[in-house]
Formats: sequence, structure tokens, C-alpha cells
Amino acid sequence: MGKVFLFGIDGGVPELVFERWNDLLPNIKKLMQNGTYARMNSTIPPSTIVAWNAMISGKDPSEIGVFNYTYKDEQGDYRLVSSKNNNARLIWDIIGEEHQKSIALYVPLSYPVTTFPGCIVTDFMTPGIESNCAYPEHLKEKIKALGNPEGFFDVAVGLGGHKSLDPAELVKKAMEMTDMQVSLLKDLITHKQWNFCMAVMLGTDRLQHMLWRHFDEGHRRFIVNSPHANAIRDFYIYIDQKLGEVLQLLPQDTTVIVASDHGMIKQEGKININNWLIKEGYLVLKESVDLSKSTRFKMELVDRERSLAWGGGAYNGRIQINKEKAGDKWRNIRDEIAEKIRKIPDDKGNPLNTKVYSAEDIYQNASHPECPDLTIYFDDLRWASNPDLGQEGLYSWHTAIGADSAGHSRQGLFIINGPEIKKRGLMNDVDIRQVAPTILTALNVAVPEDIVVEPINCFGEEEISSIPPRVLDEKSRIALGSDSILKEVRTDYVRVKELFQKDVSRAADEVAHSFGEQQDFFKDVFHFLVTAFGNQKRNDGITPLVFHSIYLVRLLYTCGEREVSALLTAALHDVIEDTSIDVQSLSQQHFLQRYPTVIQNLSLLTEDKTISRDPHPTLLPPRYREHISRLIGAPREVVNTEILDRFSDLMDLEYVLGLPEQERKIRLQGKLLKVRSFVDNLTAGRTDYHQSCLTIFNERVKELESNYNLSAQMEIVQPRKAIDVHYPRHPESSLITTKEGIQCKVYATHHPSGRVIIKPKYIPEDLLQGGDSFRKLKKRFLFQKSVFRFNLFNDKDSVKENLAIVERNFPQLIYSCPHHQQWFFAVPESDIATTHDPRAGLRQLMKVPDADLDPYLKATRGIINLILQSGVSVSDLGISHSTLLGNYTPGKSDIDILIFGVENGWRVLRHMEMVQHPLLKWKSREDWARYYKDRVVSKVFTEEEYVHNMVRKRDDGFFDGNVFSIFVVEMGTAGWYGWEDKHEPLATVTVQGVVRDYNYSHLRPGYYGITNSRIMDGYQEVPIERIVFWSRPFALQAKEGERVEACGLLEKVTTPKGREFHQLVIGYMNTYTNEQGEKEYLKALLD
Amino acid sequence: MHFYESSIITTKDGLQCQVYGNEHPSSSILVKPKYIPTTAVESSALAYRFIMGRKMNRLNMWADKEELRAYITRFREAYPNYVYTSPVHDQNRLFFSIPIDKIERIYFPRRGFKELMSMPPASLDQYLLRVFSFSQFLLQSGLRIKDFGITYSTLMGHYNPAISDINIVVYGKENFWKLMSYLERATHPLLHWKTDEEWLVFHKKRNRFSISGEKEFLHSMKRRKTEGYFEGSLFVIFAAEKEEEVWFKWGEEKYTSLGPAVVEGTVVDNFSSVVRPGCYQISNALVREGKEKVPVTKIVFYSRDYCMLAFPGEKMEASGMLEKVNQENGEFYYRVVVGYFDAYLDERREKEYIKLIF
Repeated sequence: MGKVFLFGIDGGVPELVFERWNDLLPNIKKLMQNGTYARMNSTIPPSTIVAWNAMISGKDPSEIGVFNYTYKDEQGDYRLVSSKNNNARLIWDIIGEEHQKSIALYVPLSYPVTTFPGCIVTDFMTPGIESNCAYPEHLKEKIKALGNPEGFFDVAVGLGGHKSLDPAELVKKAMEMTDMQVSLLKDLITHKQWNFCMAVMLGTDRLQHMLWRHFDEGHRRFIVNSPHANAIRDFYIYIDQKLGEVLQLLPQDTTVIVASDHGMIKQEGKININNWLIKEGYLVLKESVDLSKSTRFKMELVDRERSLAWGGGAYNGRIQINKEKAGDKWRNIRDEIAEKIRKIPDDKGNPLNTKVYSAEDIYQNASHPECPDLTIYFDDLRWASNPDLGQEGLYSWHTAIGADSAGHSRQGLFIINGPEIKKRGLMNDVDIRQVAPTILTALNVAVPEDIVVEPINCFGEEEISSIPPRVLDEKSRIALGSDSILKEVRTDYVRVKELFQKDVSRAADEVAHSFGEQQDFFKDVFHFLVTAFGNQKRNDGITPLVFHSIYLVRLLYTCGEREVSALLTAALHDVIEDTSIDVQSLSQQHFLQRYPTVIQNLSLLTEDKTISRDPHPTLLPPRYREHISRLIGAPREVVNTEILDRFSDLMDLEYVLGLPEQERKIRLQGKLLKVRSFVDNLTAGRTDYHQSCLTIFNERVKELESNYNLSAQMEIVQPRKAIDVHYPRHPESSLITTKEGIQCKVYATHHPSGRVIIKPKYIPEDLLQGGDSFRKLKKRFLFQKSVFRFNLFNDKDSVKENLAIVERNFPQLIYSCPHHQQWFFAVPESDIATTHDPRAGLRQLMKVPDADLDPYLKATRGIINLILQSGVSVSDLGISHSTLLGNYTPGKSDIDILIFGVENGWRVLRHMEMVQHPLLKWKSREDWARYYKDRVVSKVFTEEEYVHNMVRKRDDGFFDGNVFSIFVVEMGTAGWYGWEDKHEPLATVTVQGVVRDYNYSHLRPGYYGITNSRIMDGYQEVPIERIVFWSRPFALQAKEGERVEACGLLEKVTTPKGREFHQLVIGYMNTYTNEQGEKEYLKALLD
Repeated sequence: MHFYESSIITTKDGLQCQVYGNEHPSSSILVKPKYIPTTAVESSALAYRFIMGRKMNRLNMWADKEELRAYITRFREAYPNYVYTSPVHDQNRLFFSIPIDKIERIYFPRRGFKELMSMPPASLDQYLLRVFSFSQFLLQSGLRIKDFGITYSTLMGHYNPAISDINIVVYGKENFWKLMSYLERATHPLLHWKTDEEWLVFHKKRNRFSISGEKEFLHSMKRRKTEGYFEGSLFVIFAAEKEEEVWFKWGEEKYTSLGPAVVEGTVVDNFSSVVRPGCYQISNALVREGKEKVPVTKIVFYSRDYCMLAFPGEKMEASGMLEKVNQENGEFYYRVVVGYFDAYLDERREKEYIKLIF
């Protein structure tokens, strides 16, 4: 007769054991390789005491009669559960009737014990060695002989006692406990008779609860460089070693099961469920309850006369409806609460993937009086439930007894290996209740009829109904050899493609199924894709087009990628290009709410379809060249997607391979040129992509080269930024502070040698000498001082006087440019004390958690995220002025954003013309018309002209009620403005012309290239090459081909190389004090 | 060295610190870092702020203890020069200080107040106008402009009009008591003192007050006129000690720890209970818990929460660190200290308190 040994790893996580640390766990790995394994769905709730008993009874919690750690006694008081509450027959009860013996060690909910068909030592709820903790009694002596009976049953006394232990102490105690427990296990399996033996190791659960954030970099409370970063991993290794020691002692005919009751998942925080019920009016506490300190929730605190519901739970939430008060309406109330709970967002306002189960949905015996009316998985257990009182608000980190950094997840692990067990590898998910009938089958004992679940299908013939994932990490790659990998992938590819051809929805579900804990999430994503792609087919006419996108995700996962944002990038990479979904509607999909970078990635991955891609055997089509130039330096997840996308290009070549030889060769050569150019350019000089992606790509290229006698060429493409990556030191619209303390706004991007062109912004009052004081300038109290807000928008006399004061007090700020015959404000570089870096500031801002931002900064982030959707990188953006320095006034201050790069500027401005967002508003034609009537005093603009000129500008708008302004800044070491050019002023003229070049019309200084110019008055006819402006209102005023009219200073310009031309200039500084200022304008003419 | 409490110092490496106490060692200024850049050390357990173009952590000694401890450890590594090892304390007490050569700029509350009061009201935004009006109201007490300062976000300019407090510094304990006496009787249509309900919300919010019953708490809080609302903005008034008023000189006493203790006694002098560190002179002290049964004469605290809690003749109880204080003249006395920075990092955080006994 065979034996069954079940080694329980409490909280054993499938992802850690099957994948991440599999190579470090040789004993478990061997059992997996030669047996069958699966992710195992735990009970609802995935509570330790419930799940282990479901595993060894084949029953659900309602049949066992235990749902959590407490139960209501006959007097209605809540008491701690014990083995006496367990209504189910367990394995040892069933096989005991067949006179088979068991050893049960440390199985949760086994305390107290009085008699047992074999040997038993009870679990972590055991109060001490002198209690009813062992049968036969003499086992207590064995425990005492191990030296530390107080540390034998758990790492600390009392439920949750482990939460107060220091990490080092926790690890030490867990190992001491496990050492003793395994010693006793080894003793009993070698000295006692048994058919079924089971031992549950608790240390993994305890360590993972408390130390998860020490190793999980994705944890919101991750502890960087923690000395305990490897504690959990090392404990798994230690447990594997202990298992190895036990396996050596087992008879050969033993079926070995390694299982866990649930997995673990990082905990984002806790939702204070009773606070929420109080807030919603369902729960009323007795008036005497003191909420000033953290208090464990107890029923005695509830005013039952006035309460409709109360909550409980630890990792999952529970709601009990007060049926006495609710009466017949209790179901309505339950459903209403469930609906509201599903809508609770996280602490940052993001939606949660919360699941709410009612008793009849999930239990065989839903009428059991202990059944919670609702069981809640907040964000699928990433958020825990905290029923305790005295916490403020809806979210907390601690309960009254401490904080966990991980909670129970819905899936544990199951591995089975033995003489009757097939070598099946990873199979479909199993149900925890299936373990009991599986054990009984292995022991050749009939499964009782009241167990309704089937044994796990590990005894029969091999049958694979789904598509298990293969994981090709670096080690597997080396072990398998690259040929095998390509072969495996190809087989998988064909199989999955056939599934898609048969039933696209089912196939999508099956692929999603292989994503473990993320499977529900990806099911949603794939269903979205299936709907979005509709009935579109690939070139073969039978494969749904969506197959490509979904398979790419699978392939990426297979290559080792686990970041959801990366997998989402792959999933959605063709959505914008190939479906009717636009960026706006895509970005509103719930599955993208937590992954804002994905939209940015998609912009990068989207080709510009206006550019030709006609194939050529030796030249890269312009569309691909442009696309590659944009992709160089892209985020890692984009590069991985691109490599696999190009690999996919090479997978379905039937339509090419069937062509005549010469044509086939040309097409294949062109294809290889394309894919090699993409992949080689993208991966050059970096190593952060998944090597497995590149391996399978290279293997496929090599295969094609060899089979068709080809040689894959590649074309080197210059990255888009390579010609323009110099970020200016003092960009336009940035801020500098002089050594004296004058805050200045930089007024150009390129500057005369040794100076920075500026406009003073804040001048401290105490710097003015001899009784000087500016006229009609507002004062502000800023940075401890009374400062003047300097500007030139005043009556001319005041401006003149104020300029005279500047010249008297700060002569170094007035720069008379010898080449211009004009003066500028400029700061000698040697006088600069601080340069406020707009790019560095934005990078810092983007790192601050949303929850810690005020509404103004949230709006700033919002508009930045919207801009990022254009495809520009965050490193090409900056913030300035009060947004940067923090002296903004919410509701009043503008959000000032800098875009670095002329092309980036246009990209953003075009994007802003198209994009829609509920918080984004522009002034309408009516607004501008009203503004014209109320505010604009103009002799040159009619209302219609003014509205026409203003309404199409997209550099100033409103986001969430805040005005934002976009300033474009030129990059490169030399700008378009030549400070060495000589300017000869000729006359004030009015000119008309046609815009031939408006590429620099979004800068300051900026210009419009003009053709067909005509001087209307003021000077003889000379051809005018460009209209230059120094004032921002003249930016973005006209587009290519439009007729413009302008009045300004006509200049003859001579470059250092002697070229001469004429230009019109608007907005020199002296126009603020002379007559010319009133005459100057620029407008696009209405046809 | 004397340096006024509540000035703000920004450092060359981006820290924003508030001067902590009025007495300092000769070579550095004792501070509490208020905002710390996240480039060298970071903790998600501390709130984040975006200030002066930097992502900063706001140091909160009431953050999760384990995380705070880990953070302080990393802070010590990242900014070793900012941790001061006191030669006058026998144990390694945690003090933060700014090395003189790291100072970028000092914001002086007194100077800021003077500048603000010189501003034409029309040039002020709604918030500053409120501060201005409140200051004018305070000036009716008879104190002069030079006796006041403004600090924190009002001084720095990164206030949020909707939520920022008004923080006023009064220079001189004598002046401070004078102001308190004025505020006991002064009225203003925009002024209102915290109601019982508002104090009780505060009581619940701050766990450290849970040791006091609501009644004692209300009794203590309502008579100290340091906090209230002016036109809806919360104001807080601090005292900074003048050099001639200091109740101890840094370096002239040496402190030997005698372990934790709970002591009760009768207040004989609370004149210095308005500053930080503050102190109550007590008599008839009884060491209720603690290894040493010694005659304690001072209860000293580093948290403003314990300012003006008790008045002469009243009984108070304190749980803190018992210390023997050796003076330069060879005499010694005993004191209990509540709220050293290092107390926030271990079990003392929950155990230390000062309360009034009815």
C-alpha cells in the first residue's frame, strides 16, 4: 500500500517557487520536473485555518463551518475558533475508518486534540506545551527535549504576535521553530507507522507578511538596501533543504505533495472597512467608544439598534448585515453595500479591481450562520481590510496590532510527484478542495460521496487542454540552447494561432490564463483587444488580426517580462494604428489608469503613416527610417516590444515564400533589412532589454539567411536627437537669480558672449539706493523680502522712469549691443548666483506621489502627462516660474511648461490641437470675441481678425481651471539668432508678405520667413526675408502659405560672412518707451 | 552660542531646516531638518513635497517608527555632517545640526515680519493680507515690530492660502507672556479661539495627547492663547528666548542618563515653559517609576506640545528620561527630559508624556 506525504509551505507563493527562485530550490524543482504542478485556487477567503482544512477535507468553508478566526457562541459572543468548530471529516478521519494511520503535524486548526488515529501535534494556535497539543501525550516529551517548547508552535505567542518582532529576531525565531518541527517530523516518519503524513511549515507565512517590502522593489514601502532583502529567499532555500532531508527518509512508494494554502501578495495598504461603514451610515458605534486611539473592533462596541452592517476580516474584508434591523430588505442593503464597495478607489483616487462575493455565490452551505454576507477582495487582495477603529479616514497602514507588508493572495501552489503520478509539468489551475480526493485516490481509499470535487487529474493520460507558459529566462536559454528555444516558440506559435482561428475569445482567455495572478486583468485587456480589432484578419484570411497583439504579450511574458506596463505596451502596440480606437478613448480604459507611461510608449511605437514604406531590397523605406530615429533611446519596454514585433514579421512568411524565386528574394531581403535595421539600431549600446527576445529574433534571422541564401543587412539610422541634444544652459523662460538677489526671467535661449538676455522679474526693494522707488509697480512679499514685480506694461513716463532707476541702481543689467544699436536687459554670467533648472525640477516633480501633491501641482502633472502623450520624452520638458519655485498661488498662478527642441515643440503643439481631455479647455471663439470687446484696444485688428489669430493658438489654455502656457525652447549649441550679425535700423515700416517658413515661430525670439514681401509704407521697396519678434504674443500667429501684415523696425542685417538681407523686427526693448511700440503689430490676414 | 529658534536655514545641499532651540554649541546650529531632498535618502513613509524644484521628504518624527528608524540610519550615512554628537550628554543623543559652511541662506523671521509690515496692503494677496491684519492686531498688545517674526511657509513664500497656518514668533519670554495676557482679553471680529470640539478633534488626532483625559486636555489647552483662528486660518504663536533670558547655556551643564522615569511634582515656575527646549521648575517631586529615587527639580521638554501645560501651584506628571545634571560650579540637580529626538525611534515614543494632574 502506498503512502502519501504532504509537505505544507504556509503561504508558499507559486511565482517565487515555480519561477523566480526555482533554480535555488533543487528539491522542489526535482519534484516539479518529474511530476505535475499547478497554481492552486485557495478558499474564499484564503485564510490559513480555512484553506488547510479545505485541502484535507475536500470541503469549502461553509461546509467546514469556519470562515475566520472567530465564531459566535450560543450567547452571541465572539470567540476564537478551534478544532472543535471543524464540522468536516478530514483525511485522517476518512482513512482511519480503513485502519490507516496518519501523522499530522502543526496543521492549522488542529488544536485542541484528545484522540487521533496516529500521531498529532497541534498548530500555531496552541497556547502552550502543557495544553492538549499532542497525541499520544508522550510526544510532548519529545518536544520538550528539543529545548524550547515556547518557541515550538509559532515565532511569537498569540495571534499576530509576530508583527511586533524585529526582522532579524523574526528570521531567527522562524528558523529555530522550523528546525525543531522538522526534527520531530523526521523522528516520527522514521519511527512511527503511517500511511498519510502531513506537516505544515509556518515560517514562510510569518516572514512574508512582515518582510515582503524588504525585497519587492515594486512595493510602495520598499526598503532600499535593506539588510533583510534576501531573508525570504533564504528562508525558501532553507525550507527546500529541510524538505530534502525529509525526502531522503521517505519510503520509495511514497507520493509526495508540496502545497501551500494561499500565496502572498504585496500589500498596498488597508481599507478601514468600519470607518467606511460609519461614513456611509451603515454602522453606528456606541457613544462611549473612544476613537482617539487605535482599538480592535469588537461587537460590543456596536450600537446594534442603529447599525445595519459591520465589517471584519484581515486580508479579505467581510461584511455582516444586521438582519434583525434590516428585516426583509437585508438583501437589498447587502447588494447596495456591495455596489458601493466596488467603487472605493485607492488612496490616490485610482479605481481598484475589487471583487465582492455574496455567500450564495461561493458556498455550498450558504445558510451557515457564520457565513459572511459579503466577502471582499479589495483590489484582488492587494489592499487589505482593516476593521479596527481609531484610524483616521479610509486608508491605513497599521491595524491595532501592527502592519503587514504582504497579505494572502488567492492562489497557492501544488506539486505532486510519485510512482503513480504522471510527469505532466505545469497544468491548469486546480482547486484546493481537490487535494483531499487526490490524496484518497493515491491511498487507494474511496472518495466519500459528499466530496463534490474531483481528484486532480494527475493520475490519467497526458492531456493538455490549455497553453501553459514557458519561461525563457537567461538560465533556461543557456540550458535549452537557442535552437530549441526557437523550435519551442514556433510550435507554441502555431498551436496558439490555430486556437485563435477556431475561437478567438476562448483563445484569448486561455492565453490570459497563463498570467497567473494577473490573469483576470489580462482577460479584460484581451477582450478589449478582441472587440477593438473586430473581424479583421491577417494576410492569410483566416487568422484574426488580434492574434498578433495577444501573442506578442505571451511571447514577451515567455521571455521573462513581468512588468505589467511592459506587457500592456506589447498588447496595445497596434491598437492606434490598426483599429478605430484613438489615444483619447484608449487612455480612459480602466486597465491603463495605473500605467500612464503606456500611452507614451504607444506614441513611440506608432508609425507615421503619411511617410512612404514602399519596399526596397537595399534601402530602408523612409517611414521606417523615421520610426527608427524616433525609437532609438526609447524605454526598455518599447525596445522589447519592437524586437518581438520584428520577430513576428518573420513568422508568417507563407505569402512571400510562395512567390517566384527572384521576387521572393527581393521581398525577403527587404524584410530582413527592415527588421535588422530596427533591432540593431534600437539595441546598439544598451543591454537593458530581454536577451531572450533578441535570441529568438537572431535565431529566426539566421534560419532565413541560411534557408534562402540571404544576408541580412542593416542601415545605421541617426537618432532623432543626435543632432540636437545639447540642452541650453539658460533657456528662454527659465529663471536665474543674481548675486544681489534679483530674480530674472531668461528672455532668449542663445545669448551674446558672457551675458544672459533677461527681463528682471522680482527686484528686492532694499536694493534700491538713495530713495529710489519704482513707479506703479506692484510689490510682493516673497522669500522674506518686499520685492517689486518688475514689468514694462505701464504708461511710457513710468516705464521710462523705472528703466532709469534700473540703470542707476543696476547698470550691469543694461546691455547696449554694439551690433544692434539697441539695448537689452542682460546679466553678466559672472553675476549669476542661481540657475533654476526647469528640466531637473520637472523630473523631481514627476517623482512625487500624487497623494502628496496639492491640486495645482496635480494639475501640472496632469497637463504634463497630456503633453507626454504626444510622444516627447519627459527629459525634453521643464517647468518654470512659480511652478518651479513653489511660490505659486493655486487658482491664480499659471502653469509654465517648457518644451525643449523645435521639433518637439511642434509635435506638442500639434498634439494639443488634436487631443481632448475632460480637464483641458481652450478659449472659444466667443471667449476671444468677448475678450476683444472687453480688453483689447486695437486699431489694427478687427474683432474677426483678432479672433481668427488667437483661437488657433494652442500654447495657452486651461487645465483643471489653471491657466497653462507652453514655451518652446531651441536646443543645440547655436540657435537661429546670430548675435554676431550687424543690424542697421532703417525705418518703421508696414509690410505684407506670404509666410514661407514658420518653423521658428513658436520661439522667443522667433521669426516668420517671408516671401513676396511688399512694403506698404515707410521705406522704399526692398525684399524682406523675415519678420522677427521679441514678444510672445506674436508667436504662432501665422502658418506657412498665409498672408501676413506687420509693422515694425526695418533693418538691414549683415552676417559675419558678409551676406546682407532685410528683416522686420517687432518688440525690441526700446519700443516700450518710444512711439514705435504703439504702432507695432503682426497679423495673419483673412482671405 | 545664542541663535534664535524658528529661523529657517536652507543648505547648499538642498535641506530646509528650522533652527531648534535658542542655545547652540559654538561650532554649529542645532536644527530640525524640515524638508530633505530625496536624492540621497528617501522614505515613502514620510510625506513628499515639491519645493524649490525639488522632491523633498517632510521629516515627521511621528512617522512609522520602524521606517523612521531606517530613514534616520540612512540619513546619518547620507548627511553625516548634519548629525551632532553632543559632548555634554553621556549617551549618544540624537541632535541635528548644520555645519556653518553648508549654510546657503538664512531666513530671519524678524526681518520677514518687518518687511511684511512695511508692505502696502494693496500689494498683498489674500493670505498675506490676513497675516498682516493679524500682526496689526498683535501689535496692539504694546509689543513692537521688532518683537515679532513670521516663519515657515509665510516667511519662505511657499504657502498655500487655503491651508497654510500663520506662524508667529515672539522674541523674548517676557514679551510672550505679555502677549498671552493681552490675548486673554483682546477681541477681534476675525479672531476666534478653538472651541472645545476643535480641541477635542486635535486631541484625538494627536495620539500623544491620549495620555491626558479630555477634561485635563481641554483645561490645559484652552488657557494657552497660542493657537486659534484668524479669518479662518489657523495661527500658532511661538516664543524665542532672548540671550539674556535663556534658562541654560549650552556647554555649561553635563547630563548623565539615569534611565526612564515617571515623576510627579508641583510646578513652582513655568516662565520657561513657553520655549523649546522648555522647562517647568517643580517641587515635592516624587519619582513614581524609575531606578533612582532622586529629588527632581525640572521637567524639560523638546516638543512644543508641552508648552504652558501647567501653572505654578498645579501638579504635573512626566514620563521621560531621568538625568543628573552636573553644573560648572560643581553643583548638580536632577531633571526629567521628554522628547529627545532619539526617543521617537524606540519604545520611549509611546511612553513619554507630560500631563497636568487635577
